[in-house]
Amino acid sequence: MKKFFVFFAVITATLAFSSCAKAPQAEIDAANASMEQAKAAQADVYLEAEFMALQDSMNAVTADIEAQNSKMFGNYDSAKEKLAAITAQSSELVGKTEVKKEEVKEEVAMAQATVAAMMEENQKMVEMAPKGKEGKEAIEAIKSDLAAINASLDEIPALLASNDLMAAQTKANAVQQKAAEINTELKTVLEKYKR
Amino acid sequence: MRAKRIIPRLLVAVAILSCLFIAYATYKYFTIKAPTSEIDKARESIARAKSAHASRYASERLHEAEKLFNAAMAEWTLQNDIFFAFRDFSHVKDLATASLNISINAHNEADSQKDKYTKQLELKLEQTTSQIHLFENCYKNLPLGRVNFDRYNKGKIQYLEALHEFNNKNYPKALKLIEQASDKLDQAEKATQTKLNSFYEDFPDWEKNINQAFLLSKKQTIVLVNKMEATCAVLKGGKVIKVFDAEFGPNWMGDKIMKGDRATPQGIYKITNKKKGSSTKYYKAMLLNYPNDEDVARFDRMKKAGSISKSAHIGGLIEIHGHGGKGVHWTEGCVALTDNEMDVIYDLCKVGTLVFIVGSDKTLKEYLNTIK
Repeated sequence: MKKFFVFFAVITATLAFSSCAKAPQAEIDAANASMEQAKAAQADVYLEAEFMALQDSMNAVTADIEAQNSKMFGNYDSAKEKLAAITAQSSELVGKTEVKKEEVKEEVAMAQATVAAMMEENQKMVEMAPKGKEGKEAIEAIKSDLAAINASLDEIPALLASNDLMAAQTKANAVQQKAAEINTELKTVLEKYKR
Repeated sequence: MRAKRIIPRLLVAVAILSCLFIAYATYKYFTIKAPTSEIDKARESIARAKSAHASRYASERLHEAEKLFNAAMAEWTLQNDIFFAFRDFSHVKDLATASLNISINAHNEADSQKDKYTKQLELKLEQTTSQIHLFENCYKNLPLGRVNFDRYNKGKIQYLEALHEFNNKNYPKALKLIEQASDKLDQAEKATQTKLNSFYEDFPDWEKNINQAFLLSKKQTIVLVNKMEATCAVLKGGKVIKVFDAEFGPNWMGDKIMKGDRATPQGIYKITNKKKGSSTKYYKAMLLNYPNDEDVARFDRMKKAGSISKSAHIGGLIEIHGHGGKGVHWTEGCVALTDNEMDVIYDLCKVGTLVFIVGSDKTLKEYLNTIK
């Protein structure tokens, strides 16, 4: 009889403490905070694929933790390792995002400088534009072209200031292309004129 | 004594019940399955939908799938907090399955939206490219006015931005930009066509005048000015004997109405005076009899109708003069040639020589076809 009671007490105690293994809450919080930082750094915009992969890893770990929670003797070692990796990768992603943003800013600045130089050259070429039939209205049109380029160029600093780097990049690329077109057009006309 | 007998029996009963419960709980533990597989499937499907840019092209559906997934996870947590013997994961599984199905739909929707966007964009880009091509080849050399050129140029920059976004596969942004570009280009094209159509309304008169000019040139020297070609030709013996590039007033597309409109008149005029040396500031000049009777009659009509100001003056002093070759239309309405060309035409013409000024010798359709 006594043995039976001892066995019963052990079973009861086991059941009572069966669900007491704790989920790694501190690691979860750290990973979540790190992910938030990556999002705040706009990793979802500039490194979309990497951010999405990280988000999926976080969902997978959360599911794994719940799976362990469902077990009588949950083992969180693997989840802890994965969470630590996510935290580290998120921090790394913040850095990578900043690098990417700097690259975009540099590309925009370079485009702005190229356009400014081209515009100076274009302006000089307009002054030297040929006399005769071909030059007439084309010069007026080119002047309007140059004004439109300048207007678009002026919109870029505002886009950079509002941190809309992608829009600034698109505009800078378009403006550069247009300025290059005018440059080629003017050079062709001048070349023809020389002959 | 009686209690002594009851207590052990009671304890045995409790123990037996507990054992039964433990047996039940153990059975439940080994038979109830955590919703791991359903959750994983839903999660992977959401990740795939996101990779297919469902957040951009099927955002509502993806959001719904994520909401259901989160609800499934919350329900799972809730069930895990319950003593395992009483856990029920059926609702978690239902939510996860619903999330899976909706995320698959989101993925499909994203793919089909992308296809739709691509087709729509390719068409729009093609249309806009043709519009730009037409403008560059046919309209760019016409005096369309700064407003129109500005519209066109802004439209073209937006078109280039749209192309960049299209190449970056950012289709919604590309579509928005191409629509804005197309809107501006449409406005520019419409205004240009209106201007051209209105200018070419006089084509029958031009045609008649050109025929008359060639006919008269069999017996006398005639000057024929063609605005669209920007030329000033001398006709003799029914043939063109000289052609010079000419410059006009900046608003040359249209007839001269009054003083200060910087337009060059259209019609039949004659040279009334020849000037050189100190009598002209343009090297050499041949004064025309603008306004002729027709010009005066039209001016009076318009004044009466109130379409021009009562204080407007019809103007005068329209000449064929030197100092041309600037490469732009710059005169107040006169026809400018280079000084060397002026020497030639000055010698070929005399007071009384007829000067025919026409818009074009080709119909609008012919002009556009020639340029294209």
